Amino acid sequence: MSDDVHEIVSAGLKDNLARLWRYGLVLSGSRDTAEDLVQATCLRALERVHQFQPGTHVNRWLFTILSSIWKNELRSQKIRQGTGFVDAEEALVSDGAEQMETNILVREVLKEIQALPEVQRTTVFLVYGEGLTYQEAAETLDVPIGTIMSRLASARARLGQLNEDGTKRKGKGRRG
Amino acid sequence: MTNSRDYGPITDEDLVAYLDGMLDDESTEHVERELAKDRALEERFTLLKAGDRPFAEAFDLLLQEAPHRRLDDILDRALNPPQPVSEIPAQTASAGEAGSLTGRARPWGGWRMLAAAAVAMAVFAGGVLTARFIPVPGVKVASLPAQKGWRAAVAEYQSLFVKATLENSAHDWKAQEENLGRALSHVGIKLDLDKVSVSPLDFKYAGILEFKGKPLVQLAYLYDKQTPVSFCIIRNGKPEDHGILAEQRLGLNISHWQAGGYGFMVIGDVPQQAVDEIARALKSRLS
Repeated sequence: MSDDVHEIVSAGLKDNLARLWRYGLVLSGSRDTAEDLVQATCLRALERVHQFQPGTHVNRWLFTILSSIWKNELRSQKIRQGTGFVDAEEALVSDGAEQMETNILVREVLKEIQALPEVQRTTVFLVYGEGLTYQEAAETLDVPIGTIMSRLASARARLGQLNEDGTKRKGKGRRG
Repeated sequence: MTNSRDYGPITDEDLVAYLDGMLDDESTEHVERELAKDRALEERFTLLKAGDRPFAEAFDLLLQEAPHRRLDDILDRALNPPQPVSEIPAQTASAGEAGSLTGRARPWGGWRMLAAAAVAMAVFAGGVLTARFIPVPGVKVASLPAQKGWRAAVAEYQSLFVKATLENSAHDWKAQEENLGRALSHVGIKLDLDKVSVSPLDFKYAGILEFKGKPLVQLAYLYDKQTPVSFCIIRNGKPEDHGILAEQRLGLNISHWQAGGYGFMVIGDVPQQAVDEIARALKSRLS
């Protein structure tokens, strides 16, 4: 039985490595820290394999672990080191030639997302990026569902405002 | 799943839930009715709707950029931790272990090598993949890029430690003595457990590492049963001795000195004064 669970968790880790890394990147804004988070999540998940309930979603369990590690351990450390919350320009947007060929709009969206406060960014990612329901996102982040809804509303209002501001700026430009 | 059945004022949260298709039919109809007759609400709705973006597409792009090979390596190391040094025959400890750990070409920075060791060590400490009681959670680690000094590498390694990393280490004095003796023999030093035990540190284990081909030993402790602190010794062969100096790396306080061809450092997220006192105590016992 425990061997079965270990296999499920191991396979779950293997299948979700890139998604965990992406989540770590969204949380921390740092590619290196994202790798650290994946590493710590692998370790923690294997340590606590007995806590996984077969039949439940292993990916959500892993996301919860990663969230917890970030919130309780690495986040404060990175802030203390001054390496958390880097500028939008250098966080979610990669370097290299690949970037040049990528849809500019999508890059702009990533910049806008990165500029959101961490809690909003994370919630947007879980709901709109990972497709979690509000309830699932609430469980992953260990917050009430109302908090999830509030964060999404704030994020969308903020992004909506960017559109309005952009439109006004363009209007002024045309007039000038 | 979410509804506004109490029909109070419609909030931004309700409107976003409506946009996300998270309202039940009754609440959806209610929101639509209100939108049709409330101009201010409609303006709010327009703003929130304008906050939509191709989120999934944007996040998918990040997925494509994940460092897949390195992530596979991370998992591989977590699933297949290297053997404890104590189980490796002496004459093959260098070459043989390098085959399993350092033989794999990987584009990692130096601290990542050390970090991988942390995973292996912590898995040992947790006793997940091996027997519950592993006296020597030591591993050897590949050489590091030339631009990084050993203290920088250790600082990055140490920054990965949390209380839980050390909690499950062996408590048996005899096993700890053996662990310590084996680890210190790696750098050619002989000290018993009493000598390296300094209040308020609680010795947890000694790990064997390597930096740029030079043997390095980490003595891991918990300070006041809470905070990981390490005493590290590297046989670096540097001829110039110097006394205890303080520095800070990655938010961790360090006291280091050089003596007799060895580099020593005490490092942890505890006050500099405490680190200094520990360093002075250890230095006096070593001389």
